[in-house]
Amino acid sequence: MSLSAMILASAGIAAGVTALIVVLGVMGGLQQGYIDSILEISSFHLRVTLERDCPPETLQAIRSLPGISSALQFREAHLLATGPSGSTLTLNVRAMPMNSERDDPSLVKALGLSLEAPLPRHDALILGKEATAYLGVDPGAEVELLGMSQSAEEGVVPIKARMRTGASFSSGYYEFDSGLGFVPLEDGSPLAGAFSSASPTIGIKLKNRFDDYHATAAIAKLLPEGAVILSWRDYNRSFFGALRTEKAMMMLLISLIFIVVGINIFHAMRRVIASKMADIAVLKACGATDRDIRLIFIAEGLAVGLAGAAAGSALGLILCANINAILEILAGGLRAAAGALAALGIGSGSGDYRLFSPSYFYIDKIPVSISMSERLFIAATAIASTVLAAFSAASKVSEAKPSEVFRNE
Amino acid sequence: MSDDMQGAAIRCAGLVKNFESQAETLRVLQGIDLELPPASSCSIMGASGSGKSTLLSIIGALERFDAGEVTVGGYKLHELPEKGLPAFRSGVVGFVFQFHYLLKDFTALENVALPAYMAGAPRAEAWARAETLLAKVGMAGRKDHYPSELSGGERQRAAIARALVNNPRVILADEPTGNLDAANAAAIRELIFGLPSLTGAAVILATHDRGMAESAGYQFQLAEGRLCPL
Amino acid sequence: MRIGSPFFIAARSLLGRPRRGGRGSVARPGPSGGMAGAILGIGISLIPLVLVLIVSDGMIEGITSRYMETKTYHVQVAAPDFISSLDARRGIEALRKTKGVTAAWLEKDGSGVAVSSKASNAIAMRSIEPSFFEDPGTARYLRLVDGRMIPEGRREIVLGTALAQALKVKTGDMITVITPSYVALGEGSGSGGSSPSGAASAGSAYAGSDLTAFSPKLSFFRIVGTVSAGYRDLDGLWAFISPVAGESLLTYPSASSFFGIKTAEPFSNGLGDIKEAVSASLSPHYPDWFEPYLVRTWPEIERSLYRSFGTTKSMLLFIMGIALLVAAINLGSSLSTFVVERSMDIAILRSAGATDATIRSIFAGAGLITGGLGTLLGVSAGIFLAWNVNGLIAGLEWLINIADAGFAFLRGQPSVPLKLLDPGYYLERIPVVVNFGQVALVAGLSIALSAAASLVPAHKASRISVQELIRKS
Repeated sequence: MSLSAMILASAGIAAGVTALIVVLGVMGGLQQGYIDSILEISSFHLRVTLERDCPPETLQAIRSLPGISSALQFREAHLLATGPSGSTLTLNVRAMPMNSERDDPSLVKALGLSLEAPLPRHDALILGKEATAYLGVDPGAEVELLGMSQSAEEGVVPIKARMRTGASFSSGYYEFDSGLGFVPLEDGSPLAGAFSSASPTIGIKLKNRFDDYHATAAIAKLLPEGAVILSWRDYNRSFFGALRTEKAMMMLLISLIFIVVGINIFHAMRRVIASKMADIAVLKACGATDRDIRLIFIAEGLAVGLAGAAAGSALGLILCANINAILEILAGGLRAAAGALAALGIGSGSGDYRLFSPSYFYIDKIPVSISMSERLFIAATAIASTVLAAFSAASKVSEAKPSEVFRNE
Repeated sequence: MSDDMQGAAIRCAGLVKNFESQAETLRVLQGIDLELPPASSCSIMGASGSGKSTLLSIIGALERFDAGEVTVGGYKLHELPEKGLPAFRSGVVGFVFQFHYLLKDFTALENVALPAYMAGAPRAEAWARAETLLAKVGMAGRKDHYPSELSGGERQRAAIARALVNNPRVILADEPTGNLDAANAAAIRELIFGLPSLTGAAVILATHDRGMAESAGYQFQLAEGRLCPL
Repeated sequence: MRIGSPFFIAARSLLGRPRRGGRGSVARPGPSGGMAGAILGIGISLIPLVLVLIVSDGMIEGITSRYMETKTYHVQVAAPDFISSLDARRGIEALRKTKGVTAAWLEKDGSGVAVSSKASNAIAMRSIEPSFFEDPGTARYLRLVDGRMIPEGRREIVLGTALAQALKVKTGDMITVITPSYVALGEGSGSGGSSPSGAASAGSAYAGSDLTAFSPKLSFFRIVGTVSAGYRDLDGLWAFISPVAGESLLTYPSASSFFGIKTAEPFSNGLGDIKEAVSASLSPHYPDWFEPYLVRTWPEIERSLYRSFGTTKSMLLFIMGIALLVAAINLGSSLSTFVVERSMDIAILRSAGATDATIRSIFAGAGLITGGLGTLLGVSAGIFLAWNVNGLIAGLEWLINIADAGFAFLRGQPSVPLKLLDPGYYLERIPVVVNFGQVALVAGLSIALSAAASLVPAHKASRISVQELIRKS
C-alpha cells in the first residue's frame, strides 16, 4: 500500500478507537459512580439476612475472616417523614448500632460525611440533601416520622416519633440522597417498635469483591440455619446486567468502523498485489515461498493497526481527560446545527442543548472510567481487523506463477 | 473562429517543438511548413522517434508547441486558449491511433457515439449517427459487441468511425495499421484514403510503411526535424 | 447542463457491462473491487445509524405512550385535594362534551408506606373510576397479570407486579398501608383523626402546639390482583384503590387530585386548542378554584423525561455518525484509486473532446452513484434489522447465555443468565417506529458526504492530461 493509503487507513482505525475509548470511558465513569455508591451504601458485597440478631462473638468471628474488610449489623424499615410545611416523603430508614462509623468507614466516606462525625447520631435522623431540601428542614430542625410495628401479640400498631435531623449526607446518587435515612438502633428510642419486626441484616464488605463466592462459603459456616446470604451480583443483577449490555451494544455498533476500514485495506492491498504480480513471480522464482511474501503484506496490516490503535488510544485518553470541555463544545455545535436547521425551517431550534444538563442528570461533572482490560480489548480488536484484512488480501499472492516470468519477456 | 473553408484545411508555418530534459534540449521539430487543402490526403513518413507522432499531436492540439503558427480548420492554435481546446478536439479533429483505444466497458456503437453525446448531441441522435458510421466502415453487424469480442481489424474500423462521428475537418491517423496483419491493413488503408471523398475531411497519416504512404495524395518525409516533400 | 453523458459513462465504468446471455466475457460485470468496497463501507456504516434512529424512536414512543395512556394522561387539570367524586361529576360531564376530548376521569394520588408480613416498601396509591381501565389506550398498555384489575370498596387493592415482588406478596394476601392524616390544630391528643372515614387512625397522637400535626393512619387491604405497565420506572410503586377508598384515604398532606383527560390526537399540534377548550368547559363549574394555568398538556408534564431522551438519542446518533464519516473518507480514497486506474480512459475521452468539467462530472457522478448504492444498501439493511429487532435481541440473548454458561462452567462458578432487555430498565418489547422523514434525512446526509468526498478525486481526474496517451504510443 502507498504511504498515503496506509496513513488514511490508520486514521480510520484511530477514529474508531478514539470513539470507543471515549464512549466506553464515559459510560464506565457514569456506571462506576453508581456501582460504587450502591456497593458501599446499599448492597454491600454480601448481605446476610437473619432470623435473629447475630451475637457479637459471631460478628467478630466474621470480621476476623481473611478477606473480610468490614461487617455491619442493622435493620431497615420504610417510614413516612413529614416536614414542617407538610411535604411528605417515604424513607428507607436504616437503624444501626452506635459507632458504626468505626465498623464501616467506607460507608461514611461514600456518604460524603466526615469520619470524625458519628454515624448514626444519638437521637437524630441523618438524611440525604435531597430529602432535607424536599422536606424543607435545616440541620437541627425536626421531622415527624410515621411507621408501624407488627408483632404476634399486639398485631399492627402505628408508630409516630419526632426526630431532629443531623447533618445531611451527599452520596451523588439520587435515590440515596432523597430516600435513605440513618437512625441509631436503640431499645429505648421512640422508633424502636418500627424496627422490631424487621429482619436483622449484616452488611459485609470484602477486600476483593470478586471473591464473593468463596467468602460466602466461609461465612455460611459461622451462621445459624435460616440465614440467607445474597451477593452483590444477585442483589443488583438486573442493574449490572443492564450496564453490561449497554456497553456491549455500544462496542458492537462502534466496532463497525473497524470493518469499514478493514474492507478498504483489503481492496487496497489486493490492488497493490495485482499490480505487482510480476515482481512477486520473480521473487518466487528466486526461492521465496508464498508465506514469506504474504508475511510482508500482513506486516503492513499489522503496522497500520498498531499505528491506528496507538494514535486512537492516545487521542481517546486525551479527550477523556478533558471530557467536560469537549461536551461544552459539542453542545455548542448541536445548538448551532439546530439553529441552522431552524433557519431552513426544520425544527424549532430552541431548547436546552447542553448534553448531560444538570437539570436532567444528577451529576455536575462527567466522570470517566475505562479499565486497562477494556483499552487492551479495543486495541486488540482494531489490530485484529487490519491483520485479518491483510491476511485475506494476501491470499492472492499464491496466484503469481514464477513460470510466467519467463513467458512474458 | 473558422473563416475561409475554401482555403487550406491545415497550415503550419515555422513550427518548432523542443523537448526539455535534464540532460539536453531535444529539438524535435525545427521549423515545419505545411499546407494542406480540404478533402485531401497526406502521408508523413519517418523512422521511429523522428517526431511524426509529435507533429500529429500538435496539429490535433494534444500538445503545445514552442514557436510558429498552426491553423487547423480555421482555428489558430497559436492563439487558442486552454479552454478552447476541447471544442476544437471534438469539433474539428478526429484521431485514429495505432492502438484502438476503445473503452472496454462500452460496445462499438456506444464507443462511437460517445464523442457526439459528450459534445452535447441528444442521445438518440448520437446513437443514430454512430450506427450510420459503423455501417459505412462495414461494421453494421458487429456494432453491439464489446472491444474484447472484436478482431483487431474490426476494432480499428470502430476507432475510425469514432473519429468521424463529430464531422471533423481533419483526420489524424498515427500508424493506424501498425498492429494489423496484411489483409486487415489493406482494408483499413482503403477505408482511410476513401475518407476525403466520403466526408470532405483532410487526412494526415503518419506511417513508416512505404506502401501505405504511397496511397496518399501528398507525401512527405520527416527527418531531423524538417519536412521534405517526396 | 449536460449530465446525461457523464452519468452514463460513470455508471458504466463503475458497474461494468450489463449482463447478457452468453458467458465468456473476460471482464467481470459489477463494480471493481475498491469501489465495491466503498459501497459496502457506506452501507455498513449506515446500519448502526439507522438502527439507533429507529430503535430509539421506538423506545421513546413506547415509553411515552405508556406514560401518557396509563399515568400522565394527555391533559391534566390540577384540582384541590378536597374535591369529591360527586363534585367532580359535573366537571367530567362538561369535559366529555368538549371538542377533541375522548374521555375524562378524576384521579386521586397519594403516597405512603405499605407493610406486608415479610417486607415494607413505599407505595404510590391511585384511585380512579373503573371506566379508566376500560379505555382502549389504557387497556393497551396496562396488562392484567393476576386476579382482577378493578378494586371495589374500601378494602380492595390492586398492586403493580414490581411492588408485589418488593413486598413479597401475591393475590389474596393482606397488606397494611400507612398514610399521614392531618390532625387540625386544637384537636390535640386522643384518638380520632381528621378524616371522616372511620378507618383506624388511633396511635400515639401527639399533643402539642406545633402548626402541623400528623397521625399515621393505618388501612388494611386485600390484594385482589396484580398489573403491569411493562416499564418499571413507570409502575414500580403503583397500587390502585377504588374512588371510595381514595376519598377517605388520599387526603392532605400526601395526596393530590386532578382531572385526567384523554384526547383523540395527542401527538398533533392541536393540544393547545384543547387546552383552551378544557379551560372554557371547566371554569364555569368551579369558579372558586379553577385557573387556566392549572391545565397542563403531557409534553409539559413529562418535559424532563422527553428532553433527556432527546439528548441521549442525539448523542447516540452523533457517535454512530463517526462511522459514516470514516466510510465517506474511505469512498474518497477508493475513488482516487479508481481515477488512477482509469487514467488511460480519461486520456481517451479527452482526445475525443471531453472537457475538464465533463471529466470532473464523470468521477463526481461515480462517487455519487457509489454513495447512493451504499446508502440504499445500508438503509435497507438498517430498516430490516430494526424491524426484526426483538427477534434479533432474543437470538443474541440466547447466544450470549450459552457462551456465558460455557465459560462459567469452565471457571467452576454458577452462571448468571443475562437478560438483554431487562424489564427493570427497558421496555420488554421494543415497538418499531420508522420515521421516514428522519431516515430520508440520514440518507441525504450520507449522499451529501459521498458527494463531498468525491470532489477532490474528481478534481484530480480533470488534471490528467492527454499526454498519457501520447507517451504510450
